[in-house]
Amino acid sequence: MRCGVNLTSPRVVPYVQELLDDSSADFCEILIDNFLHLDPCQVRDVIGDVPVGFHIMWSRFMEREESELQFIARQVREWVKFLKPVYISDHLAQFSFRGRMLPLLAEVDYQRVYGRACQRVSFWQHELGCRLLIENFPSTLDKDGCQVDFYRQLQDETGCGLLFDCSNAVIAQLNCGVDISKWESLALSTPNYHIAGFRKTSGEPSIAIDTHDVLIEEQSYGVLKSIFEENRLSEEEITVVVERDANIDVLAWKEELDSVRKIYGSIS
Amino acid sequence: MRLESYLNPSMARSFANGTHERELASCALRNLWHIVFDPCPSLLQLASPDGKTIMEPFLVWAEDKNLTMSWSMHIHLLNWMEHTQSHGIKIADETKRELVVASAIRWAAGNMIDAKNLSHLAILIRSKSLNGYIVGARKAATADGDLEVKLLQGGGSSEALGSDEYALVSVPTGWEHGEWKPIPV
Repeated sequence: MRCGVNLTSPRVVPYVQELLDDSSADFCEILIDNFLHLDPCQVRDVIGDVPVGFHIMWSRFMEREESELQFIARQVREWVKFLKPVYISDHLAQFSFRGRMLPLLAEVDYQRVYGRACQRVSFWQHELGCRLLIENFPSTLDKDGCQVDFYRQLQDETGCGLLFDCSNAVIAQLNCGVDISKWESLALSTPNYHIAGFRKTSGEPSIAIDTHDVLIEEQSYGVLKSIFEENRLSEEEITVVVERDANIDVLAWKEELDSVRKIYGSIS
Repeated sequence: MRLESYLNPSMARSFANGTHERELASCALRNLWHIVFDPCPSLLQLASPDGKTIMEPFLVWAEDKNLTMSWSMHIHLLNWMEHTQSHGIKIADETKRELVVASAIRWAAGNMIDAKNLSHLAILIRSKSLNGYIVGARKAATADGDLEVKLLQGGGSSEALGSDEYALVSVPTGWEHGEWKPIPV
């Protein structure tokens, strides 16, 4: 199992370097949006010779014009040639509404956008030249749990994969009552995972929001543990990225990486 | 869920108390508040303690103008404030500079907001609110570097400059730029 950290911007390089240098992490997921204007060898120089994944945040592949996506894909492909990522992952969400950027990512209406999602995921994969992993969304309003069936059908239709975020599944359960067991077969079909901290809003009803700036909840570790218990994939294939975007405390991050390794060690 | 509510406080308040919809819209508007005020501390002083006297009417205006709320938002906010000085707010030069710098930084930090940005390394912004200088912001030049913000001589007088403009820079050093263009909506 490769236990990784997320590199979100040049500003967090010193933290990530420390965690890679002392072997707390042995995998680095690069939020490629914030580095794509650079030469990829610069990133290799600062993270060293560790395996990498590419995470994409702002492709907005559901919304953006195809010509722009093609332009972005050309850049990403150059990075793929050089850094050879284990995977490329992206987000399926609503970033804008009637051309206006939203200050909080919104969940798509799964039934309404299914056809477009299939078309766009296929197109985006074709342009990137590889299979894409789509991260499950930290649901807030998906009361019927449509997301799980949506992802299953999307995978069947387009051949894309799932980047399973354990914490997002916990958030969906807290906000919408979607039982985590609904994700089981999908979560076990992928070797690539995320885990991170989330906050609960102070209002009533409180909503869990994916923030990556606080400690990981026990429930999220519990989801990861049950995946490890059931997952029959080889040790080399599995990646778990402990995400931290803000309010970074290297010692706490190190302890969380250590917790993930201990959970894995306890069942293997 | 009416997603307009993520950018419209009165619509957010129209959701019934105790609903996920209302809480979500509040959360979105709180994020927007931070996007607006965090890079501009002196702006908040003009509308203390909670920024509402600026934020709420600006958002009404922004919706009317269909602003994209992308990197150019702070420049539009500055222009809106300049045109609505009837409520007696004097905008200090420091605040004007903060607002233009906020837009430039948002451009430099948001590689993928506009895909065309990817092939450019820096932005220059000249505003009729800034007499005598231009704001430049450059993306991080190295994988562990920070973005660079610079105030450059030039820009001309407010009379000479009809409207605010920006120009993109493709060279890794210096500020040699392409043509000046109007600030996008």
